[in-house]
Parts: sequence; C-alpha cells; structure tokens
Amino acid sequence: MFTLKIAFRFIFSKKSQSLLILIGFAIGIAVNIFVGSIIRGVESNLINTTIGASPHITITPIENQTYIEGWEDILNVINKNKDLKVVLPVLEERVFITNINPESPDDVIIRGMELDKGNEIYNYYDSDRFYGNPPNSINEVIIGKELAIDLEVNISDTITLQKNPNSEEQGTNLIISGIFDLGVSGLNSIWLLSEFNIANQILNTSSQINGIYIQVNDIFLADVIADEIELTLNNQNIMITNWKKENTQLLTALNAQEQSSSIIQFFVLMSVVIAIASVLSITVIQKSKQIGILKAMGLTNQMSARVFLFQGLLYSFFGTLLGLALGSILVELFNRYSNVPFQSTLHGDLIIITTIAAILFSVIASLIPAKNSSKMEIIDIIRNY
Amino acid sequence: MSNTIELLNITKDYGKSIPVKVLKDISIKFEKGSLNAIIGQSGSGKSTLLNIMGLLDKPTSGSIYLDGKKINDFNNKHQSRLRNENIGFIFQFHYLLPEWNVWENILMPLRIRKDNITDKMKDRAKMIMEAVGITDIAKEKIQEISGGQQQRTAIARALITNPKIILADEPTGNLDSINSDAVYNLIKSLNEEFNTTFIIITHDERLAKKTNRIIELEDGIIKSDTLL
Ligand SMILES: Nc1ncnc2c1ncn2[C@@H]1O[C@H](COP(=O)(O)OP(=O)(O)OP(=O)(O)O)[C@@H](O)[C@H]1O
Ligand SMILES: [Mg+2]
Repeated sequence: MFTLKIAFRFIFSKKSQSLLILIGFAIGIAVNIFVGSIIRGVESNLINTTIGASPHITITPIENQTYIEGWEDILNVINKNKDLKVVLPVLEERVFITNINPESPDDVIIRGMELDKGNEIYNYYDSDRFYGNPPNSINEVIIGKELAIDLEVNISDTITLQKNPNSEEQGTNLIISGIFDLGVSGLNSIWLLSEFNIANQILNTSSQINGIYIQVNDIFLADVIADEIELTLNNQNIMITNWKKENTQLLTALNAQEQSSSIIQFFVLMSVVIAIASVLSITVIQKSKQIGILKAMGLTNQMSARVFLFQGLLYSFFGTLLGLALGSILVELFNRYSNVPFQSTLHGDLIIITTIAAILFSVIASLIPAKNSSKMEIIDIIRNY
Repeated sequence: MSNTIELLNITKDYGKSIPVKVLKDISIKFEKGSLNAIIGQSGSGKSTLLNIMGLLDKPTSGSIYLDGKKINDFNNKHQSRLRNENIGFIFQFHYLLPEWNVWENILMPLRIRKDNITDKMKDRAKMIMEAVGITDIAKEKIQEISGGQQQRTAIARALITNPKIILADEPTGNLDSINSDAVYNLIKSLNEEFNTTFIIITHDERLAKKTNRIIELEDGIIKSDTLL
C-alpha cells in the first residue's frame, strides 16, 4: 500500500520530531501500565491478606441441622464445575483436651479433612511456618502455635480428646506430629487439624461432614459461581456464602481505588492521543506542498487522508510497543527496588486494553488531520509554493 | 489531425462582490502531438488557463474536453485518475518531493496508480532518464542535484506515465539560458519521439519560437494564435 509507504517517509523525514512524539507516547503508555500494575498489586495484596488463605465459598448446613446430608452427591455435582480450584469437605466440631488440665479441660476445634487438599487453601505446611511432620491417619494430629504455647506441649506429646468432658467414656489419645502457624492467632490458639477419619472417630460419627470449603480460580467471580452452585444444587438444607458477601467494605474501597486509577489512566491516554493529533495537524501543514504535488499527480483525497491515518496508526502502534516495554521495565524495577510489602503485577488484560484503547483513540484522533489533508485544494498549494 | 484537449467558453472570475474576470470566454483546441507555447504579460491569465486545463483549478464556466469527452464535471476521484493517466505537469519550481530520491520521484505517478512497479516500468523509467540525461543521478537526493537536473527529473516524472498531454508552466523560469535552451531542445525531441502534446507557458519569445504554435494571452483573452 503506497499510502502506508508515504506515511513512513513522512515520519522518517522528520526524525527528531517523530522520535519526540514516539517517546512522549511511549511514556504515556508506560505510566498507564505502571499505574495500572501498582493498583492491581495493591489490590491483590489487600485481597490476599484478607482472604488469601481462606475459602472463597463455604457451604454449611442450615441452622437446625448438624451435618450436610447427602454430601457425596453434592460433591459429585460440585466437582464438575470447572471454575473451582479446591473443593474441601470438612468435619469440624468443638472438643475438649482432657489430659493437660483435667480440672478445666481446654476446648478446641478439631477439624478433620484431607490434609493435603486443605493445605492448598490454608497453606499450613509452608516450610517457614511449620514444624514437625504431617500427621498420619492413625493417631496423629497437628496443632496451632499459640495452642501449643498455652498447653505447654510440644511435638510427639500426647493429648486426649473427648467430645463431652463430663462423660465417663474414654477419650482418644493422639500424638502431636507438627505445629503450624497460620498467621492468625485466633486460629492458631484453637485449631487442631487431623485426617478426616480421626475426626470422625473422636466425634463418633460415620463419615459425616458439616462444611464444604471452596477456592475458585477467579476470586472476583466467587459470588457468581456461588449463585451458580446454589442454583444447580437446589438444596434447602444447606447455606452457601462467599467472601464478597462478607467483605463488602473492602470491595467498596477497592472499587473506589480502581475507579480513581481508571480516571487517571484515561486522562493520561487522552493526553498522548491529543499529542498525536496535534503533531499530525502540524505535519499536514508541513507537508502541504507534498500533498499538493501528490494530488496533482493523481493522489486522491481519500488516499491523502489515509496517509495521515496511517501515521496516527504507526505512531500509536510503535509508541505503544515502546511504552509496553518501558512500562514492564518500570514494573520490574519497582518490584526489585521498592520496599512496599507487595508486588505490582503486569496483567495481560491491562496490556490488551491499553493497546487497543491507545491505537483506537489515536486513529480516531487522526481523523481530523486526515480530513484536513483531504480537503486541501491543489491550486491553493501550487499557487503559494 | 485530431485534437487531444479542447476548451470551450472558459471563464474564470475571482472575488465575489467585485468579480475580477481573469479569463474571458476562451475557446481553443490543441492537436495531438503538437508543441504549443502560451505567452503573454504577467497577470494575463496564462497560469490560470493551464491549471484549468490540467484540472488543478475549476473554471467559473465553460467546458473542457479530453479526446472528445467532457472532463470538468467528473468527480474528484475520477479527475485524480484522469490526471494520473493522461496529464503530466512541469512547473517553474521543480515540485519534486524531497523525501524521495530522483529515481523514486520519477516513478511516483506510477506508484500512486498501482504500488507494484513492474520491470517494464523500470525499463521505461531508465529509457526516459537516458533521454533527459540524468541516468547517473538516480540515487541522488533532490536537494543535492543542480537546478537543471531537478528540472530534468521533473520532466522525466511528467513523462513516466506516457501521458497524452504535458502542461508546463515556465519550465525554464529558474534556469540560466544555457540550461533553458537545453531543456527546450529536450522537450522538442521528446515531443517528436513520444508524440506527446506539450503546452508550455513562457515569458521568453526566443524559446517560444522553438515550438509549432504560439498563443498570446492578454487580459484573459486570446490576442493572437500563430502557427509557425
Ligand atoms: N486566488 C486568486 N484570487 C484572486 N486573484 C487571483 C487569484 N489567482 C490569480 N489571480 C489573479 O488572476 C490574474 C491572472 O493570474 P495568472 O497567475 O494566471 O497570471 P499569469 O499570466 O500566469 O502571470 P505570470 O506571468 O506572472 O505567472 C492575476 O491578476 C492574478 O492576480
Ligand atoms: Mg503564471
């Protein structure tokens, strides 16, 4: 396409002017990418600290029921959902440790579950924060850090658990195989984790559960997915809730933050787009002789408009490429050298949206200079040479 | 002999409240393959007439025929194509494009028509460059060649499409007399060789006498029309 070649020549014929606008455009895009990434970083940091190591969707029995009836069928249905990352059936119940302080037994919560799967949600086996070994499924258990301190027990000590401390029945003896630290003392001082069958044994139940904890792939879709599950299960005996329902304030704050950054990004984008439009308007005047001569030789008005649309396209395309590179470098440098407690993350969708918006707006902005060039009359140019 | 271009009752006015009549009812025909000169005082309307003929400017009234077809009512796009295929321009200033080199400038009208340049076109370009004597400056930049070479390049560009007519507005106005003579001799030989119709505006009676026909304009009318 010859008009594209003309556009290239016009750009290359004013090297420093073209370079300046290219750099200006790239800086705008880079700032855009950088701000967007920081905001995303702050956001995911906030979300992570709030809900990172916790379920996104929980299913529990309705109030007057103790267990989830027909949970195997429910799991079968849920497991077909492709949006879920972890599905964890859990049996948890208050029990008492009777052998440490026999006069006033300590109440704790035993949580029986497939521990390897549970670790995917709670991350208690994290090597920095876990001491000892994962428990076997015969007679071992792991307990929270604060609880271990309170009870003054250590790894390989034995604890006796009883559902009802006043009953005459024998408690169950378990050996502490490890101590975990979830970073939340409320949980560390009360939780006792074991394999599923051990909890069942202590609580005298036969394969019952009273909770299904779910993590989804896209946490922002948790509410949608929860609704979807509710609809497909259509079960009156269970309650489904999700993190969004319980963190509305956080979400409002995040929303406000996101909006203000969008506004900033929008105006940054607008200013570089306007810069392109104004440079092109100047170019139309700088190149008016050439346009007149080309038109005399048969260049049509549409072709001359295309020359300037292509220039807008070229500037924005290469400016965006350069800006993306620059932005990624900024993000990388920020992550490496700043000491804020979060990483800024460069997301694909941010890159795609920025690229499309930048190029689209630039081409739209080039319409004005393009129109001006198409309206130029040959005779006016030839006469005033 | 048949006519290539023909003007019928062409007028051109400038200004709205007090119109200045620059061309007053001009009718004239040009024969195919002829070599014509237009002379006249400054301001007599020579350039205006030539620009109207080349569809660079619009007449206030009147018609322009090319090979018997009325062309001044064509739309912009159609007129652009018509200019590209049938009319070559040479101006007092070379009007070459500084962003492209000599070779690229010469091929420009073909590129505008259709981007891919065939070997046949290249051969033609080389042949024309040879004819106007600029073969060895093909790769030079426009700003770095002499005025005479620039004008020869402009002539080569006008010839590249093998147009029916070449319109030249004081093509030697910026050249010294030796170069002017050379350009006129060149035009004369090209006219004979390619059978292209030339219409040339000049101030210089001596140069005008090298053509076949001299048309003199005065105040927007044809004062005299002499075949040599
Ligand atoms: N755009 C315009 N507006 C008003 N008057 C114009 C315009 N263009 C040309 N004229 C007038 O029309 C007249 C003819 O101009 P033109 O350029 O055709 O003359 P010319 O014969 O080519 O003169 P020269 O030998 O100096 O080139 C002049 O009086 C000029 O002032
Ligand atoms: Mg003139």
